[in-house]
Amino acid sequence: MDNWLLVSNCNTFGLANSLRLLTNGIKIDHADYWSFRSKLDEYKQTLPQYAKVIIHPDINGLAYDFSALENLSKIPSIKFDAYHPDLCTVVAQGAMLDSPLGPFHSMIVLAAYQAGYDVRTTCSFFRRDVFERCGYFGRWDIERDQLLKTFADQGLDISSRFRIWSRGDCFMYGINHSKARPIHDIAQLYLEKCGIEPNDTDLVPSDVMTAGACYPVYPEIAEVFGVKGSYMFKVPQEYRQISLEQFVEQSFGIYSKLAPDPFLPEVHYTNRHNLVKSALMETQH
Amino acid sequence: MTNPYVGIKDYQLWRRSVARVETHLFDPVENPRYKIDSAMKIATAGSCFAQHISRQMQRIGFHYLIAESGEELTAQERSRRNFGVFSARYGNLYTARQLLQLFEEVFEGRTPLDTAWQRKDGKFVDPFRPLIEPDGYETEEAVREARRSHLASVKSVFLEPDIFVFTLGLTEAWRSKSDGSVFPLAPGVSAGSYDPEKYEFINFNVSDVDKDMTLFLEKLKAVNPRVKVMLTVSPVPLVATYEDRSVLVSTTYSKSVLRVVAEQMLARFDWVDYFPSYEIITGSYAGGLYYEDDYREVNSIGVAHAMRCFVKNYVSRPVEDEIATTMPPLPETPPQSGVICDEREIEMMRP
Repeated sequence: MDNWLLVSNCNTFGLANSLRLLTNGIKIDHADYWSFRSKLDEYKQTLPQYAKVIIHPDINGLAYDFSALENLSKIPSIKFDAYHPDLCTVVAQGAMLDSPLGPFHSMIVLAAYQAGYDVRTTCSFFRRDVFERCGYFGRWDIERDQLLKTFADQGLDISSRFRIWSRGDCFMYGINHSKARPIHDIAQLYLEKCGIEPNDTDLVPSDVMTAGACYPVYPEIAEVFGVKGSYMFKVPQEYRQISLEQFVEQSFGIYSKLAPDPFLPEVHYTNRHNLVKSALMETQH
Repeated sequence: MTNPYVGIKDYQLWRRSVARVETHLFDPVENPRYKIDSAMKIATAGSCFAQHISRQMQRIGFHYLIAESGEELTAQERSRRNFGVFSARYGNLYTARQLLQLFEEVFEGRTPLDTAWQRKDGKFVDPFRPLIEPDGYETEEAVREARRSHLASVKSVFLEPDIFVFTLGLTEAWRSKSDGSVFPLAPGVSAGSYDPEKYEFINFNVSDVDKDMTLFLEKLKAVNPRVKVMLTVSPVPLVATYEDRSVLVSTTYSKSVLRVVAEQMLARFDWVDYFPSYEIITGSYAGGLYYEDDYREVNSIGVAHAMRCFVKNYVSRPVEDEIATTMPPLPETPPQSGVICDEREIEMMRP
């Protein structure tokens, strides 16, 4: 029996279970990045014994350079922010800052707090014309093209699956957490690429991503992309949702404890955050 | 070797314009005959789907013509009494015949024999808009008086708009045997009483609807020479058919007739355009996605899709986009990694 090892990010569990459901006669071991890193010495010994080692491309070189492995494959994960263009990560005191929903913050909430608006005014910014000014409706094409390219670079054509995923339902819980079906489809495409006929099954493994934070697609944005929207935010680690007002209040609570220390979005988000700040300023004038 | 399909446009090819396009990006509108700007007056009439169009026109910020505004009433009362649902309070005009007879009543003195129907609660209503006034009227004369006032307002709906949007809804109707008047609802459904001696069922065919629409459009143009017309076909299936067959089969017949007539009007009048909201909602590409759980009512996602196509193709400068055009282009976002969640996040997902 072939033995494969999968090392990836939060996709690890869904991808590994999908591969198990879709194959016969292959034993699939898995390790998320952090588990792999913590047992690196152990894995260094066993890696050469695997018939196939599948990694997330972005993991290579972080804790270990997999490049020398003969049977190395790469499967990217889905990163797509068109549904959630308001999300960003924030750095404070040199470390990632958690929001009430884990690592991702709302750029509007952050900009509003920095500009000194209160919770009520901040909630009022969650509307169509503000989103328009922030450029929130215009990220679909660029994000789709980038996503398709990321997978095409690894020999995986996800274009037709992408159209199905986006049909009437948001396939993302945030900008880097996809639902279970797309992960399952990617496993299927990978097997086909390897010349392995996947099992004829539609069984999708349980969606472990819902254990984490799940960001809503704001209704105004959802309408444009043909999906259902909401302003209920699912908090991580428990099955509980909070309203927009609660999300803003709790975010402000976190920010207020940091003041006056500077806290800013990660550098990747600087340009967009600046646009949001100016959009809020224009809105108030 | 060549063939006539070599060199045709992408939108003429299913694979390129339908199969390979994300559902929400599908856009079947090509070569619109005119553009609409925010200064032009728009009036709407038609079946219940036209109500969605009316609401969206107002929301988007078009100059939506409301001849009966009920401005002296509270917003709640206006809504309850169906003010602003259409440009005037004519209720749903499901058939081309209803539209034609309304025009003739306003401009040519057509006088229907049925002027008031009594409800079960004793109140009277207008047979041609029986649901418009939820409280009904105390007397038949009060109904007639309200209609006189209504017709005066309807006149401006035909005279004033730059764009008249009409949604063709049904071919099945009930009519008076006495004077041929067609009603939006069968007598006895919400008011009046069904008497086979006085009323009959009619299912209009292509020839009937063609004749009614042609006549209406010619008459409308005569009184309002600058008007342009947009026709749509309602994607909402029949709630019931009086034909002795499946309601779905009747729906297909009805919508087919209306779609054919819309095409014939397009060919006949160069100031008439057809907006394919029917295709956007019912197309196989959408797979029923744009219907509510009853497979009949159109959901908000479907309406939004139709209106996106409308704004994109017909609006010379989308009112909403005026904001966008004044802002700088979206800054390029540098490539980012950000795909490795921190350990706490992954921990939550570990089995």
